[in-house]
Order: sequence, then structure tokens, then C-alpha cells
Amino acid sequence: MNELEVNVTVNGRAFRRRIEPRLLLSDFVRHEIGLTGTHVGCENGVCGACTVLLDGLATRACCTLAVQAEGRNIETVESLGRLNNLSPLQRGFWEKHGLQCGYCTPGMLMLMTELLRENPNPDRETVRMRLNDNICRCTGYEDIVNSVERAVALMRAEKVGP
Amino acid sequence: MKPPVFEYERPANLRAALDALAKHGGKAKVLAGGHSLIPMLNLRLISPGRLIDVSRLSELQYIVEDFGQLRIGALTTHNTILRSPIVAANCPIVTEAYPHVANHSIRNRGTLGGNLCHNDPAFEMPLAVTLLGATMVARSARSSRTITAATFFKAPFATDLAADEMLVEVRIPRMPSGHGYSFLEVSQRHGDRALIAAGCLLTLRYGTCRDVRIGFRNAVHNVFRIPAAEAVLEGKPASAANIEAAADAAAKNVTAAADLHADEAYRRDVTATLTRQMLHAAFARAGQAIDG
Repeated sequence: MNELEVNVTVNGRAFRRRIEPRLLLSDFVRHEIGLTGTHVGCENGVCGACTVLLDGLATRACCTLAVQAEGRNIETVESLGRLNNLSPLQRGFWEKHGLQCGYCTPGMLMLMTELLRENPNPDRETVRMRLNDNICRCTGYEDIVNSVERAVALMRAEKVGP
Repeated sequence: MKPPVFEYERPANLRAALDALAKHGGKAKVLAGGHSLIPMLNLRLISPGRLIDVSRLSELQYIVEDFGQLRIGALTTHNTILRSPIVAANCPIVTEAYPHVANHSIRNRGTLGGNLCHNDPAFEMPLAVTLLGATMVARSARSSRTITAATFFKAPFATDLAADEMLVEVRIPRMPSGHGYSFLEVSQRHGDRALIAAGCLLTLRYGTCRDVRIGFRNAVHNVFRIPAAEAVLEGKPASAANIEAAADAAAKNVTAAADLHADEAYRRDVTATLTRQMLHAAFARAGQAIDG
């Protein structure tokens, strides 16, 4: 089996693994790093459930080879908050029912993390346009937009990032 | 739903990438942004023996204005081009077309060169660069050549590139200031594959249309410019009647296409509607609003 060494930073920690070049970044973070928060949906770039941040940019991990992340900085949903200390964005989803089954939620959170970092005060239309990237089959999106709006208010009140 | 086994290499520079293509070209695929190629691998639609990963070649990531043309490196990402003030100033139809290209996350990784080389018949950029009369610069270990857009896009999912060639640059002639342009699309959801993508460029001189370019893609065939629709307007005054005539000509002459998502009659209908809408927009931008 042809294997390559890959060195990446995941949520601030450095990892070195030997992997097959065909290993997808989504499977790498789940199976090699053990972070199963990143969900795998369609595996062909349509649904966005696997969205992670690669050097700060929202990226479909199922359309990226893990070897392409060599030397890069990966952020997954586990980087956001803890159960008893949720990030403003996560609290927004909690308070405004931004999820039902929760399958798309890690991807939604990472997608919106990128947006709120570049634009901490987006209007609803901007949020809706960006949500176009990812599919949610439960909420009808309205509660997700409300959740992001709530997160914006929390960020402003607490003077913190997403 | 996982890629098949392949050899992987990441050349350090363009020279090494071209050498790798010369050696393995027939059995290798060039990996740029990967957001078309990797889904195809996941779905096992293709099974190349080797991937040559050029996505880090920063020497092919640039946008420069140069002697009346824009030169865009093939590995420049979509979002870089979408946000480029140089592109917006010189060929605004590209900036207008870009929000229709997939979605933001995919545009973070996807590249102009990868998009053009994949030439999916639902893709917008092959239409935009064809309307703009762009030239592709292809390089191989043995040679360098330029290919006009009209020649480059040979068939759906096929280009004029040889197995050992790589697209390295796209050269777009600068559009005159005050020209009219519009790019519109109908798809099932915003960012989905285009049922019909439509673009037009024109110039108005004393109320008369010059250099009219009207083109479409229909997700099935390799449709580009429709000379019959352009001829209706060329040298004629900008008027509601002439817009109507151009819309009719476009609908009649666009290549027929039917698939799971839309039949031929619907596509012709959408073609006429988009032609009307984009000509109104283009005339308004060229300084002449048309009633109706």
C-alpha cells in the first residue's frame, strides 16, 4: 500500500500520520484523529455536512484529500465550545432551535464561524446567501438564520468572536 | 463512496509538474481545487492511476492587468476572482457570473483553470470566457501554445488540451468602459447546475448595437454563442422590438436539450426569457434604458 506522511494541525494540536493518499480529509479527522463531530453526508460535495475550516476557509472535507492538508491548519466543530461552555454561535443554535436531527449542524456551525469572523454583523440576507452552501432537511433554515442572528447579538453583548 | 487507489505526487514547481505530466500524462489527472475531480473519484466515475497535485503552485495564482488584457493564473481560486476589483473594473460580466458558480465553500477551493478544464456543460465560466474572447495558455514540457476559447472547449467534459499539457493562464481582453453586460441563470436551487446559463456583451454607439455577443449553456450540450441572435441586434438600434426579435432568435436557434430536470420546450422558453432580461440589463448599463 502506498502511504504518505502527513503533518497537520487540528484544533491547535499538531498531528503526524501515515496515510493512503486517497484518504479524504473528512475520514482523516474522524478515523485518524478521532474527532467524530465532523459529519459525512453525501460525500460528493453537495450537502456541506463535512464542512471544516482549512486555514480559516470553509472547506468541504469530503472533496479534499487529507494529504492536501499537509502543513495546514484544520478547525473542526470540536474547536468551538464545550458542553458546559458553548461558544456564542452554539448558544445561538441552542436557544433558537437551530437544529432538529443535528446531522447538518457541525457543518453549519463551521460555515457560519467563517462568515462571522469575516463579518461579525451580517444581515439576514447575507446569512441566507451563505447558508446556500449547506443542506438542512429539518429546520427549513428559518431557525438557523434566527440562531445566527442570536449569536451576533451575543457576540456584540459579550464583545467576543463567534 | 471512497476514492479508488491512486499514486499521488505534489510537484514543487510548474517545471516539475510539466515533467510529471510528460511522463504520466495519459494515466494521470491534474488535481487543482479538486471539487469536481474528488467527487468523481468518490463516485468511482473515474479511476486515474495517478494524481498530480498542482494546487499549491503559487506561481499560477495571480490576476494582473497587462497591455489591455487581464492575465489570470489558472490556479487562482474562484473567490479570489469574485472579489478582485481589477476583474470587476475590466470584465464585470465575470464578477456578475461568479455568484452562480457552485457556492461559497466550493469557491474557496475551486480554481478558474480547473473549472475550464473540466468543462461541465452546466458550468458558467467556459461561457463567460468564450463571450469575452479569452485565450488559454497551455504549457507542456515540450512547448507552450495559446488556444482561443472557441477552440478550447471541444465538447462537454472535453477540451483541446493534450495529455501532457496543462492550462496555465487565461488571457481576457479588457472590455471598453461603458459596455453593456449581463449574466443570468436559471437552476433548481441557487448554485446548482444551470438549466440555462445566459450571458451577453454589447456596446452602444449613438444608440446602435455593436459587437453583440449572446451565449448560453444548457447543462447537456456544449452551447456557446448564438450568431443568429447576435445578428438580429448587430448594427440595429436598441429597442424593445429588437430585444423581442433577439429573444425569439435565441430560443429558436439554441441547441435543443432535454434531461431529467427540464424538457426542450421549457429550455427554449427559459432561453427567450433570460435573453429578454439580460438585454434589458445590458442596455441599461450601456446607458440606454428600454421601456417594457
